[in-house]
Amino acid sequence: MKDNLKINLKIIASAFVSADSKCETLDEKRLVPKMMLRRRLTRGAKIAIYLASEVGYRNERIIFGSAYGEVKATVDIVESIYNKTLLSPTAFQNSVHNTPASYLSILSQNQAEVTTVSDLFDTSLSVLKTGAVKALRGDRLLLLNVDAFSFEGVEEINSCEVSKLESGVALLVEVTEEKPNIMIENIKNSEISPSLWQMLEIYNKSKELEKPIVEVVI
Amino acid sequence: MNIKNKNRDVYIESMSACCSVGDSSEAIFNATLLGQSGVKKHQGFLNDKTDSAIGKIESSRSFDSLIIESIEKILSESNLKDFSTTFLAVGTSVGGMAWAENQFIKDGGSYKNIKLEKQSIHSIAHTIKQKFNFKDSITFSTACTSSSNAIIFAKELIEVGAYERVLVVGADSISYTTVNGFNALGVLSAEIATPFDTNRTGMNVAEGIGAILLSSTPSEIKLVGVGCSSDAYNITNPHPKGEGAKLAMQNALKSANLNPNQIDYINAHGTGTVANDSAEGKAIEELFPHNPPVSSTKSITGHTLGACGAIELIISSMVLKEQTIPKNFNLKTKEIESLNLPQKSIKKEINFVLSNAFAFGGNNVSLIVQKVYDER
Repeated sequence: MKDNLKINLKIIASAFVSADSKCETLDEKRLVPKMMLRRRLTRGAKIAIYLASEVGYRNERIIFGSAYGEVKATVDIVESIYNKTLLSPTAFQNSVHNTPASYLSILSQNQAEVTTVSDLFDTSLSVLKTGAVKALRGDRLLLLNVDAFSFEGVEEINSCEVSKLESGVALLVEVTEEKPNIMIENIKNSEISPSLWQMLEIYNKSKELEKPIVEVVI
Repeated sequence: MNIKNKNRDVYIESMSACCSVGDSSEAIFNATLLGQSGVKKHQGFLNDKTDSAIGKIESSRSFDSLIIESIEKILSESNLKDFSTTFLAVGTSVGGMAWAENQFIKDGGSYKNIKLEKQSIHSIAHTIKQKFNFKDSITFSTACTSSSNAIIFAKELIEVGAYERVLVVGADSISYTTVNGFNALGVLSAEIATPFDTNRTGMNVAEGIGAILLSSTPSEIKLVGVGCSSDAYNITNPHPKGEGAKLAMQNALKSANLNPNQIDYINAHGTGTVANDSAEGKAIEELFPHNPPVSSTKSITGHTLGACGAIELIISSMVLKEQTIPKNFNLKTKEIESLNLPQKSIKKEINFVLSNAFAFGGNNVSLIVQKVYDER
């Protein structure tokens, strides 16, 4: 059996945000001065834009991850279908998984590659693996992992009983040949959706290190 | 630490597809040559009870079974015993949405029986991994470029030496969400789409599966170039001058180390909407002064959303295998007169084909495949 490729990523900056139901400190008016655009943003998009700002994003390529996607828009659509009412065009255009990363690219006029992955509870790991392979080109990348799933009826599907219904992690990374000092141990966090665990673990460990470097096994 | 250069070429070892016009790559390609569209009028999908023209697979088997059959075909045509050393890259825009809608309706508007592994974007990979053992997997979901982005990542994995083989599966089934959603945006046609036609009436939502086994082992078709870009313009409308589309095609050409005049045929994204066709047409016109033949095969297959990148790369590979360019079925009056939009299929020497896919959020991907004559 061939050995797995290992790629080391230097964590240049990291950020994390979470809230029981709604993150209140996303600095929206400053970050999105145009009101029309600000009003169209989904919760996931607002969190992504805030986290990007926190890590000093400067139009890097973006690898975005979300396990559940645009839950509010999806719920609006499904309920319209059930009630046989007209669908909201805004809900539909905002319902795809790459919505937050797309709004970030529009806001920052970033024409670079943007890709989105979604692997339920492995989403965070998928963001890291995708980012690590793409980082081999040598540029800095923005890795984002956001889930916002606060809606009426969420308790029916929240089988993990996660208490933070909005959360997100951002890592600004680049590939390095230096030795890693962070190994992913799959540390659990009962408050946060499991879809964010590995990136949250890296964020937490990075805070304790002067020069954090994580090993990503492909 | 193990940084490797991109030193390995990537080939299509095997491919399989299923959509409204057929359940094999050959059947779908023949339909494009013969002008046999799988798009038909259906009632019952739109909330307002009007007809919608959609590309639905007419089969007694479930969509999940069709995905499994497509992968079984790939396995039987390859030299593999199983997929235990293969990476799975899935591309889907709606995942298990159709299942979730039906469950929600069945339960009288309750979420209590919505299972994440069946509803989520990951549901396609979940279904596949119930049947086959893959070493690892990642699902890409960038709306209509989902499988195109999966193909890009597959190529990168092979190039850096992480895997010898990657199976890409693009799959999206018809859902009330997509049919009603595109209707809400005012772009859903009640007739078979007519991409690039002055009198176009919009696009056709469709379902489909495209499975491609990419490998470092030389074969008849080589994936030589990939390029992507973001419009950075609008969440649904493409840049009106096609700036993002042009950048993705330029990046693909750069990646393949090709000049624009080496492209022999372009399989356009060509959805049949005014905004897409106009932007893509302008970008092609500007970037390819030698005026290569361009056609959209979506009037045959419909727009298979997240699967279209994989399905249309399969059609593009069939173009290279058969050395025949499909016509623009249903095109009567060209909107952009200067575009070379063949109204009959063309038999000619074709070495390089470029295939486009564009998505919500201004997510653009272009892929280039080459006919290989002497590398086996």
